[in-house]
Amino acid sequence: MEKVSILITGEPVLDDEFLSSLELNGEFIGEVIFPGEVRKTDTSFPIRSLNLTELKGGKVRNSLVKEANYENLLFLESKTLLEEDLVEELLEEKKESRADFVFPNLILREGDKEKVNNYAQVLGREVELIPSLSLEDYVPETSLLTSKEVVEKGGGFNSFLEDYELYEFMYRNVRKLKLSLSELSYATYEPLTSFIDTAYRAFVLREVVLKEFDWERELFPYLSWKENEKVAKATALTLIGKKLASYYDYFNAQNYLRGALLSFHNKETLRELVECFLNMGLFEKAREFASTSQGLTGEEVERERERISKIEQLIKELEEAVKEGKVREVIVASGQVLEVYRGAPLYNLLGVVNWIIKNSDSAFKFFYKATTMNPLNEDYLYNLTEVAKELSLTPKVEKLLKALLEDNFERS
Amino acid sequence: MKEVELSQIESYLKLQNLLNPRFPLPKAGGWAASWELLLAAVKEAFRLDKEDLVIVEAGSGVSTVVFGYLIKNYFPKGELFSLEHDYDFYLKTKGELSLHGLEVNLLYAPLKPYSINGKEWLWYDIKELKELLKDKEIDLLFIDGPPQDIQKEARYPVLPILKPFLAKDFVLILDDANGEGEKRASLKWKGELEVYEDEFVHTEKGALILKRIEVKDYPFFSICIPTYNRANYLKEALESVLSQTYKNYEVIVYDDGSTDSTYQVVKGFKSEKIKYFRGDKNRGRPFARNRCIELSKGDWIVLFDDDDVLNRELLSKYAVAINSFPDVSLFYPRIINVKEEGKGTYQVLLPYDYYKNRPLLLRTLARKTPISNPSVCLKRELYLEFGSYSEEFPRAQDYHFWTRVLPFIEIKGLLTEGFTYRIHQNNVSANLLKSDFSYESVIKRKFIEIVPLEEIYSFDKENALSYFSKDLTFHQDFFNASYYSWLAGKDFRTFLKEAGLLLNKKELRLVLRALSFLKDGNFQAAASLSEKLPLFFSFLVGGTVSLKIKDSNSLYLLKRAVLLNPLFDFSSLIEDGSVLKEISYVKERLLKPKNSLELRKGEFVSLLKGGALEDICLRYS
Repeated sequence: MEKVSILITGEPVLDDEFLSSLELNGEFIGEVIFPGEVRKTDTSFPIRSLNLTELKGGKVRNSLVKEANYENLLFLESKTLLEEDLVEELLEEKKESRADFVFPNLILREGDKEKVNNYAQVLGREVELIPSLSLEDYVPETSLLTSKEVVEKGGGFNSFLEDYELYEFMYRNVRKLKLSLSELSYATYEPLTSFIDTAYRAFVLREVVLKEFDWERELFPYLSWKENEKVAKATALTLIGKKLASYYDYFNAQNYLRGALLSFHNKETLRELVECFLNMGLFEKAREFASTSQGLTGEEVERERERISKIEQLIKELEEAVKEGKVREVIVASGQVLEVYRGAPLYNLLGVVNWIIKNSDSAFKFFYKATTMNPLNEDYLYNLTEVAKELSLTPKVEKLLKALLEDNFERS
Repeated sequence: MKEVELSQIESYLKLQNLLNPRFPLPKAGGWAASWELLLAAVKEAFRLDKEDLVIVEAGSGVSTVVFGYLIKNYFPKGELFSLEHDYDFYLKTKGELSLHGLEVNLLYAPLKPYSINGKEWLWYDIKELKELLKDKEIDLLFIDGPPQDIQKEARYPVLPILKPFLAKDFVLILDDANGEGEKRASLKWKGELEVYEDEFVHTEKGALILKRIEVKDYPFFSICIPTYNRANYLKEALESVLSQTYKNYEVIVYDDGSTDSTYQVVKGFKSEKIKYFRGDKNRGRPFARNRCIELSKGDWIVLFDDDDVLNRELLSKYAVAINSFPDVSLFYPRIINVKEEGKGTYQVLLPYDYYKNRPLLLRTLARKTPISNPSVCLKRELYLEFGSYSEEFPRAQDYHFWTRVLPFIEIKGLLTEGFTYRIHQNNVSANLLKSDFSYESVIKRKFIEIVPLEEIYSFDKENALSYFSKDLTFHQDFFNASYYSWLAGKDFRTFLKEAGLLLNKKELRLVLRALSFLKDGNFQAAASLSEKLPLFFSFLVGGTVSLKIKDSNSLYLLKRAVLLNPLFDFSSLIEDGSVLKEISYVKERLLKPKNSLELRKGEFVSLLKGGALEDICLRYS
């Protein structure tokens, strides 16, 4: 009987619910490997630990693959619950479809709530996913069955990446990969943290996707490159800018949006650019671009500038409150402000507040987000590095800056 | 080279060969008549086959030379009269005729005003033509003038002005028939002729060949329109009915208790043809249809819906067909325009003409309705002989009626446009999900009591039951399909599987998961899973979720679930009494025997309940 090595990334969780879900598939599980330390548990298959300090990322994933004793590998994110027979179903699908990666649909659990995420079958249409610029919408991050051979032939995972390395691997190899959904299979995924380090997504988009694929034929084949190259280029650059902005990489997004405007000036791109500056906390710059000289009407300029000023005023008031030590009030007010504005200055403020109340882990995450949004701001960077020092996370910050600011990408 | 150009060259060569002119024929096409059209006109002349053929053409040119040769070579006793209002053109044509040595009555006829139906029109002065014609009748009218820029519908006057001189079986050929003015003019001509045959020739600019025909009978039609709260669509429907080219008809509007402005819309027409009747309350479509027919006086009934648009020429086509096919009791159009609101119009062709094709008709009746109801024309006496629409069928009553009548009469499909079917939110039949197919199931199961299975499936009598099973699945009645398959001693499980009632382990797990989401009140997750469930459970879960969130589609979804599995105890999952009542009606239609072959149904149900089906297919627990 075929067996699999289950390779788990993320915080090791060995609760009863998780263990019993594994046991429901016990006859197909050869071993379970965690990167971090795990307690001894009585199961029908061995559970091993690599005793690594890092729990996620390309480096960890490569180590897991290296340590696996079975050819079939099932990557799970902690914490994923397998339905009965799921492993068998995935193995069957892999055999029938001869796919390199097989995955189920997901039931996402957040607290008491469960949400079903049905995926589309992409087998045979893998390259059509490239123009989406977001593979993660079509293939889940967890419950992916593959093999050692596929990983090795594909050149392994990028050890620079602390997140998104699975998708980077898929982008890099998509022309020769077969991905298949096991239509009626489901796994339940309960993410242990809501924090996603999106800087690596943006990095992969810029350094792999945009460089690996031909823009006219593979990335944006539906644009009228031959009929009107300038408009096509502006559209492509705007789409990239918007995607980067969705990953909070406003710094790089604004570069693409500026390029789009230079190619073909248009209001849609301009609005995105103003939004980027606003989210980076560059209020003056946002006002400068929201102008009649950029093609907006007087009424549009007035409306836009009023909105920018109101947000700026809100942030100033919160900053004043922090200075006055009104921590509780700032936390309450921030929740309301977040509904209208989710820019870097606000995340920085939340970092400061958490720092004040000695919640260093949360402070780090907020400063990290603020810096992701605007890595050129000295205040955010100072705050982040200070907390990082305290938590011994300086290398993580160095990697973040490398991911956001360094153009030359080398897979190490 | 384009197809049109090839066709032009081919027509030119044919005419050269046929007419053998002294010099090559002059240039045609563009402003002049095309070779294709001229060849079509020449063919019509031969078809008329009259020794003393008389041709009159409005507007001279290449056609004059062509017709000149035609008369000279083939109809030496015939005559050609050519009217030309432009003196320069007159001289040019005259020169051409002299070059070719043709003697033709080329008449310089300047345009002069005529009064037609109280309106002033400009047309050729026919004083000289009248004198030359004497008592001769015009057989072929070729219309290529006067030019459109003179007046709107410039070519219209030809028929009212020359009507007294036309032969009974005259043919009119109109060039440039695609033009808007020409289209309107040709409709007016058709209205004046009432019965005619027409043909559209696909030439460069399009041409119309219109023939007056003699008929024995001018049938009286009753156009029956039952209506209920469709005032917004009824206006257009009535406009289309009242603009028929054939005039011998009445319109019966039966208002089935509308509460909108239906009455005002009807009265707004002020037409004596419309007879409006109003019921005191809404009693449903079958009742309204029957009342319409009771109130009508026509020998022929034309059924029509209040939201469709009738083709203006349909009654005329029917009148011709009634005279041509005396053995036929029902005619139907084979071309239907479908207009989807906000999406445009497309044409649907009904593939079959069932005339003299009873085997195909019976085979089709066992599967689905062979003809669509609106705009069908049938003898009134059929209702007396076979009875009216059954009120047992609030929907599909027409299909039920056809199964009772069509096997015993001759019917004919006409290759003509019948009506424009409008798809909108309130259509009775447009939304398939809203269609309760249990009615179709009853109709089919009753039909095999009217016509024996062996006759319906005469091509393979031994497997008749199996064919009928498959025909039942056309409207998703997999339950009865499996029963008939079981009765035939064949594998009935295939149909149960199709209905989603034989579950594998994976499917069973998914079903249980979806039902547990339902139980926990996580309707969103249950609805997401329902997409992946086997058919019955997909409708069951989808319908239950819809019911919980008070979605208007809930009952339709649940009725579809009942259709797939009438054995399921819905009260184990649903509490709403009115919904359970509706479900019980559907169950009854599916489970109650409808013919002598269904007397063993109880035995089959016991088999399914006794273990052939999983418990979860019988009740929620």
